Amino acid sequence: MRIASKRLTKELVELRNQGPPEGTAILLADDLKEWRFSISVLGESLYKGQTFGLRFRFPDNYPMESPEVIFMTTDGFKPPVHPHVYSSNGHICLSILGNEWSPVLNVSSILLSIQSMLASCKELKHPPDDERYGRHAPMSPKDSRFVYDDDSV
Amino acid sequence: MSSVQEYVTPETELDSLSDAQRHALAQKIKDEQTANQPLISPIEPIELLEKEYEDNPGFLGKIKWLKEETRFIGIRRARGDGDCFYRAFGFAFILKILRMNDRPLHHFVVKHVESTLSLLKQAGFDESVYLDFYDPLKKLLSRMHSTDPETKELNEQLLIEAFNEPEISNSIVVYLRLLTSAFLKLNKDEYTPFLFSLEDDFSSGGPPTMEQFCSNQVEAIGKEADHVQITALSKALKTSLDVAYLSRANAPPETPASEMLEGEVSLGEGGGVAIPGEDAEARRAARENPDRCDIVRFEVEGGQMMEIGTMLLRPGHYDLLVDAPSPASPEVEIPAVSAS
Repeated sequence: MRIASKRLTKELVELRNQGPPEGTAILLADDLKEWRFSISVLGESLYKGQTFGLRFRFPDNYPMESPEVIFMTTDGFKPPVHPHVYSSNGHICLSILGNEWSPVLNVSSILLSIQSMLASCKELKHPPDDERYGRHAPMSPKDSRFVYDDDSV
Repeated sequence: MSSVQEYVTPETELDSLSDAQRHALAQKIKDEQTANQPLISPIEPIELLEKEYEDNPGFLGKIKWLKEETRFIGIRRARGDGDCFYRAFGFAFILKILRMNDRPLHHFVVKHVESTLSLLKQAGFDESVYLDFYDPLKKLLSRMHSTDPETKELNEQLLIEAFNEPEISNSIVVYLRLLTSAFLKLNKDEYTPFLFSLEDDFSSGGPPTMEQFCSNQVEAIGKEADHVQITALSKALKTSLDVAYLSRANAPPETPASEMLEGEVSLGEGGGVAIPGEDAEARRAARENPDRCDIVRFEVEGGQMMEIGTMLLRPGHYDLLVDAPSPASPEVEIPAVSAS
């Protein structure tokens, strides 16, 4: 069996048996291509009471390559207003999804990183180039080359 | 602070981009160029390197030195995808076991590689994750001296094919990355002093912690290995190697490259510059030659299991240098195998 199927099967069994991280829930995971999760931030944050949708798509060479992860803009979901999240397409600028991806990371650790990215946000604002990116962005955020200047926001 | 998206359209003025954006663009062009290279190439004559640098006298002199003053006759390239050190190391490691064709030593190496799994566990990696990456390495090693008639015995051609199979090749790269990371984390008191902040680290504020360094620079795919990682992997696998540093000749001493090299030389235990060659006279002459390549030895002191040859380091990229076939003499560096 290919590594991608082996790994995703293991991850799915674990997510189903032990549950995804607190504050997240599986919306869809019928195959090993695309999974969807709802996500909210625990405790006090600028996003208290809000729930967002995340869509994961897995490349054939996962986990050598990172999954494509976006905030959903369909099914009634809207991306959070956040300096690293593009409003028109839900693309996320997060280094572990790009040049700091490591095959030891997994869906759970990505969910936790995104929760922490939201939890630590100090001001509800769009990225400075939100409008321009919306016009030029490729279909997949993985085809964008983000410049990760600050992951602490 | 915010993040910036680098999106270059045909009308973008290059001057309008920040340094970081230009760096990202250069990286993207490099990615596109390297995508078609083999992961591990067949041996090419070293003369092809000369041709590559025919307009670059600084490098050319050093290549000629490598060709004339050392035993190297060829180069085996690793794809320039940032994983080249680990891929070249993995390839050279298995090739060496294959060439030694020594059943007890093979057995000893297999046992030692297997024992490294416990380092990953101690360092806190999830077994269900790293076993997937270990498996292809284990399978390749089991295709030597096998007693199973069904097993297809490994040879050099099959090894090259395996290393050009992305799933096998990348799994081995990942296993070696995780092993390097585990070794550094378990010996962090010894190695943390050698970490320094990288120039492209925007969230600076001093050198990274070992945890940060390992997750951002060692475990992350495509991040090049530096002296610290090479030392760690060499020790973890009890494997010595040389790195020939092909930098511009006559670089002023204050360049970062030469500073780094000094650091490298002083870091390795028993490090120092070892020049292949027989007598001291030749060594002295070589030292005075401005075209001499610095060759840094990563020596495992005590318990060395094997020696896998020399890598050629050009800024940001590693390839393997290929020796002239030695006259039919037994390899001197094979250690006596002791039970472990």
